[in-house]
Amino acid sequence: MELVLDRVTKQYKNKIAVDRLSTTLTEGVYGLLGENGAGKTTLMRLICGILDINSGEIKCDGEEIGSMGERYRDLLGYLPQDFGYYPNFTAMEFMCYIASLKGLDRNYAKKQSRLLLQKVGLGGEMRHKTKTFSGGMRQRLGIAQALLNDPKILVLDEPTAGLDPKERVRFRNMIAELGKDRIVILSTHIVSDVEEIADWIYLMKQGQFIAQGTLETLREHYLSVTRADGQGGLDMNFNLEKLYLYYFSEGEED
Amino acid sequence: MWFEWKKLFERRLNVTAMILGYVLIGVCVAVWISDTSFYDDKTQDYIEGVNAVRRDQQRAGAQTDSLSEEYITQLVREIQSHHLDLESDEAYVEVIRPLGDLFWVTAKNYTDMREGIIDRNALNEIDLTDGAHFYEQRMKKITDFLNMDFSFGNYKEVEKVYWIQKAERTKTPFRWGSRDIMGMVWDLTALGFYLVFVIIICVSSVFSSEYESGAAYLLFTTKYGKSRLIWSKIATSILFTVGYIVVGIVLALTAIGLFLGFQGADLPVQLWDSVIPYNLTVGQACAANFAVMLLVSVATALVLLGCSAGIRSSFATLVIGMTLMIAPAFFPMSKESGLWNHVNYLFPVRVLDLKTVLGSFVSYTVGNHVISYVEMIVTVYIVIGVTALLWIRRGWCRV
Repeated sequence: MELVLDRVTKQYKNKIAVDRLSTTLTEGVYGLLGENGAGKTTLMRLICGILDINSGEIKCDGEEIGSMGERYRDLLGYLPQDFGYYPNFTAMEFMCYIASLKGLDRNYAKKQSRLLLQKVGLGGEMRHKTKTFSGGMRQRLGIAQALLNDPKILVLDEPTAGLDPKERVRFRNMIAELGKDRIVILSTHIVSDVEEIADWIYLMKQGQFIAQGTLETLREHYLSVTRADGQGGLDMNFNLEKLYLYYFSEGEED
Repeated sequence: MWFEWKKLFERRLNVTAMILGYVLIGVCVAVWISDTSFYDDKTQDYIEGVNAVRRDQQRAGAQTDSLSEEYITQLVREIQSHHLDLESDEAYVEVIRPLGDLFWVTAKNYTDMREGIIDRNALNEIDLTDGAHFYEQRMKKITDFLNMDFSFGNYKEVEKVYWIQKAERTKTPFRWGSRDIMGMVWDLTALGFYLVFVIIICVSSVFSSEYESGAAYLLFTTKYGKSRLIWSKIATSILFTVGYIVVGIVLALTAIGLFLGFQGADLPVQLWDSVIPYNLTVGQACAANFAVMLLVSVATALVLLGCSAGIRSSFATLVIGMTLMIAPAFFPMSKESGLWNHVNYLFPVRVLDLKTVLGSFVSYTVGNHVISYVEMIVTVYIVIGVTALLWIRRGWCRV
């Protein structure tokens, strides 16, 4: 599976939300880091085919995703940020509803829903209405629905938001596992989440990738930019947060 | 589709509106039945409710079974023999009240179509030398109306020919019988107008609530989120629209049928207005009114689904729906523009009152082809419905 973004641009009136982004994604976990308004959610929606691209293209195994239609959506699993959960649906009903929209067989959908709800720790809450759920429980339900069709491309927008530390650790492990045989793209504000599980990290600012690479290459990048700025040099205690702060505290000063 | 039903029925506002709609119908039927009155000469008091309907049926049965020229001539002669001003209280007590509907139907036939109220004394002015010419008067009245000068434009020759031929084909003499029950049934089908408000409330959130809750972005990424989901929501909304109205009307009809029966369904619609040019029984007219109501309701529901998908706000869609239904009631008919009037006639508030529609002589011409008001209503609302269907898909998938 290969997802290629070629000079992808999305503009809202006078604001360019995503600016000529190009990259190639294969199986693995990809983390998007950036401030609010950096263009992460827009980029994810473009990848999911929710938004139309103004220019450029996204291809899945060589085929433009817009022309693939249902075939492309069949490969997708998406967890949007802050989405509606139909308060009067039980967790099981919600899963079955999404499964029906994903075209899954009813019996398989029930079996899979039960399995996934147990996997995300909602096995005992299947028959409870989602309006009784806490933010963290809803988030877990959201992750479970994204996995219903065993997607080859999994897009998670702020998946760890609202989760307690224990749940976050569980999800990091789950996502790392999922990334072995599929493309997992996740965005977050929480630098440590990305640092721990992402194979490849993108730092986004004003619709552009300002830095990208593995943790190791980003370390080298950090050293070179800080050295050039006369701010640093050889930093043995590098972590991603330092690079993040380097770019984004700089933005605040601007 | 089960999930869409669940969403529809789990919204508190929807359920409240549905219950209130049926309660309104129930109250109206109860009031209609209990308000029906009949003056009993023997007790010199009014009988009300079911008994009043029965007495009216007995009176109508005793009067005649057909409004033949001879019968009408005899009737008018008898009325004239009282030498009373028919607007007077004395005439009401001695002539009008004992005759009941028979008086009003006859007097209306001799009243000019431009008159807003029935000219009772028109019956005193009929020259009975060689009969009352009831049916001749009916055709004369129609012809005079069609030949009138209207400030907003006159009837074209093809329209005059069309309406006169249609009116001439009406079966005469008219059968006679009690109008009470079928009058109620006809009013009931028109009352469905209020049920459309319930449809508006329930349908306005079908698509927009998905945007408002944020679920739309998730639905868009599912395999069938841009295809089958739309049809599922449309099918649910249409089935709900049809089902809700049918159940409401059937329940009300059952109540009427149980208490009163449906005697009079085979009476001609001309007993409500002799100039109506359609050859229909009142039973058929009620069925037609019911069909038009369903068509208008479904088209309205589809338009609102389009708004719901396109505008993405339940409240804005609700306001649009309510405005579409209520505002046209206040649109005046133009004295200059026939075109505006012809458009004005097509708003839901007007087309749902088939009792007025049938006797309105409104027609539309395309070249030399005349389209009657009823045909135009059906055509326009089918076109609106189909257009809305296409619009819904565009609105939902547009991002």
